[in-house]
Amino acid sequence: MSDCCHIHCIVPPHMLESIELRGNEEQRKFAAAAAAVAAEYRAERVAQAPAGGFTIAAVNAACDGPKREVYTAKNSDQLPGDLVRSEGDPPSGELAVDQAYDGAGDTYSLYSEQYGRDSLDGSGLKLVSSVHVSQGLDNAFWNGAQMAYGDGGMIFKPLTGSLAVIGHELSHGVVQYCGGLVYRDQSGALNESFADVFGALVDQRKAGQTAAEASWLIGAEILLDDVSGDALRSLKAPGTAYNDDVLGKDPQPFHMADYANTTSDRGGVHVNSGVPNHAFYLLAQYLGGYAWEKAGQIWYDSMQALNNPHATFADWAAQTVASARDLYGVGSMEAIFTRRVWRLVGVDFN
Amino acid sequence: MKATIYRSGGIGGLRIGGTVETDQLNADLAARAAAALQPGTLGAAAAAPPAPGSADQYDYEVTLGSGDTYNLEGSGGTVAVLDELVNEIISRRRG
Repeated sequence: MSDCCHIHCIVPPHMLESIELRGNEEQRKFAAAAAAVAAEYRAERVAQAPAGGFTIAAVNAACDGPKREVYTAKNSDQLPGDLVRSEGDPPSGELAVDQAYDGAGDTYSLYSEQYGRDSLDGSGLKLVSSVHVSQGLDNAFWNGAQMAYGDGGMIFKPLTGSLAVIGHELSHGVVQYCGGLVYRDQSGALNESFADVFGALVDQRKAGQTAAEASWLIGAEILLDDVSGDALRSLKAPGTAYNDDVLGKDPQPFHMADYANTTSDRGGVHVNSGVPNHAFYLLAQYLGGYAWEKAGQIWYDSMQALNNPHATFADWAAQTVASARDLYGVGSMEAIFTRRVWRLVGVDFN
Repeated sequence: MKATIYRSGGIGGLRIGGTVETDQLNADLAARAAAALQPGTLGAAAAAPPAPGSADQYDYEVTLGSGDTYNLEGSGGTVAVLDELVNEIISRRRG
């Protein structure tokens, strides 16, 4: 047996997943091949994680401004499509293109001006967006390299209509470049929650709203009129965003007592994110003022420091308390409130 | 041909779907559905997952009349047909 094959046999799946998220190109190829051998796992599409491997972004790095490109996929599945607007170009006059461009700029501004992060990777990564993706696509997604926005149709209006959705998708890129959270079960729900929290913060900062003034809704602008609901999700009141004949009732819990044990949606990543979402909302209310300042800084520093792609809610909670103590001091009100909000949503940690 | 299809995840985290019968679809979609809803086709599509780091893309759960269930995380032509079928289900439920 070769050394390589021997390694294939002893590397556990969770380690392979970490390598696929965080390794350099050669390491990712190894991880994909090992996974394929170990469990007839799928090996083809490995290449979209950071090309040089995972690095922590510099804090307070010099930020040179966003480098945005918006493409139209012309209702095809081919990404990115045709370039419509580049950095510094005047508005194109096409709503989806200009919303994607402006939203990427607002998101860049939050991360650079508030947290000293130069784009998603901390090194000025180009922000690539495609609009008019596929036909009647009721979705927006981060594919590991760029944002993609559908035009909606059955449930949603064009997805670029919500700044929180744009901030959400770009924040998945921040998670990826902070070392990643495996997109399944609790780590996947944390990935979703971080994207929701910072999507909401982009929206609030643009509107100049305090934590008390904000709606804390994600996607309030994009539900079609015949859908019974206010938004996709509510950080203020998870489980109340919609109640519709087709969509059913918003299934998000706000407390661990109602945690959804499910295999659907990769272990309920969009469902159980309600718990950490609500923890952030409570912290922002306790601390008052603008949520992107103290509460956002604690969450952002926690993502920078986490270094655990399989983190559980308890791991994340412990990290947020540690970051609050680092930022504001042991025994500070910020640290005390951070510990308290996790108790209020039922997450136990040491 | 009868199949039960659920689409889950996406930015909304919604799980939507139901049962479709291909003989109730228009001829074009029925033909494409009949080709997509084959064990070999679904098995091949299931072998193309999203890239690491990707988020908010859909997952699909397809149960054929035989009772066999396939879980797909990928993209491509087969998934595009499944999307059309889920949209057809939504459209009919909306009336």
